[in-house]
Amino acid sequence: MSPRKIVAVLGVSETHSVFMAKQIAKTNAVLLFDHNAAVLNSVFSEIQTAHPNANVEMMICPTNASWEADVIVLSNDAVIDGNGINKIKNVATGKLVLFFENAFSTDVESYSYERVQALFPFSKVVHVCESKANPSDSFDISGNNQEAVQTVLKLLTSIGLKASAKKN
Amino acid sequence: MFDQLFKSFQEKVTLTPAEMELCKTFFIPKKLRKKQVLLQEGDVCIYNAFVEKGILRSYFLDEKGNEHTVQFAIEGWWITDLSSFLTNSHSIYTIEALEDSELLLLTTEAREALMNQIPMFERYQRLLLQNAYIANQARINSTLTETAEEKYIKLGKAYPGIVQRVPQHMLASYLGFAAETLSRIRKQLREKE
Repeated sequence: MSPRKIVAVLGVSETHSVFMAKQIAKTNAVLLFDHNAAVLNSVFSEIQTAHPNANVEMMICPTNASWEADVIVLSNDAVIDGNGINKIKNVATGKLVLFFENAFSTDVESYSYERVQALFPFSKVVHVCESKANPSDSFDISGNNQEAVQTVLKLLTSIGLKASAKKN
Repeated sequence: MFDQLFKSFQEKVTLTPAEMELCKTFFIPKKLRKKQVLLQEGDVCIYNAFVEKGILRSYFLDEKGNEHTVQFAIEGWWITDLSSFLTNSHSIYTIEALEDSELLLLTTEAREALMNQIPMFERYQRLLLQNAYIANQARINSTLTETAEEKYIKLGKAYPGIVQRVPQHMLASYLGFAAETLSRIRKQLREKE
């Protein structure tokens, strides 16, 4: 319904999240949050320098960022840290929650789709994994909600990334 | 986060604590900042929005580009384009936040599921629609029979919260006359006091 989706990127101290935040900020409003204020400031400045017209904002609270957002992007840290997730799960109901995984991650349990979906039982969880063939360049997208998977597919391809939907 | 919604339920129906908990899982919490748009003209309206905090309005533009305000919604009210929401058609309305607002959004699928799982929610929806129909009839009658001054006084008495919070030109547009007319009416009323 909103012309542009508002995307909250929670945890920007990782290369992946910074990359995503920068790309998404080209076309969508982005709310950035990180526990580390210095990192948050630095990423914010980086995005503003790269895209002077980007609609990007620093948030001091993950709950408020998620409450305002249509799409919530979780960093790897956030996926592993259950405490952080507790702060946002009530305001994530019905929303699209994305979590990323590196191509060669060995932490199978933390990044299991079932685990993250269980943490957000009333959200549409989508798993985005770097393609093993072309890490950092193309992504495999999967999830139980096909509409949510297609939305993420459109979002990623619209910002110039190579992405394809995979069966969960 | 659900205070106003549950208050609205309690005014019309009785839900068990378990039903209230279940209800929470169907609503999408959403914050809108002042001037942000919930529905853009031309899009399909996919949400029925309950206002927990703040104020919104729906309006459309005529061929000359004039704005016509159709509805305001303050705390405890619902706002949507019902026609677009129920028929999946493109909306002629825009719905925007006039203040920073906190909403609980319900999709058509969630609304159907809620009505199936909680029969009292269906009764609640029926009562809402009934009240909305009565309010619309009253508005038509008012449009056909009342003077501009009468309309303004009536609105102020019925909904002081709206009159105090909404810019004058939007109030005038809602009442169906020019902002200058409203300004003149307010001046006359002040002089009478």
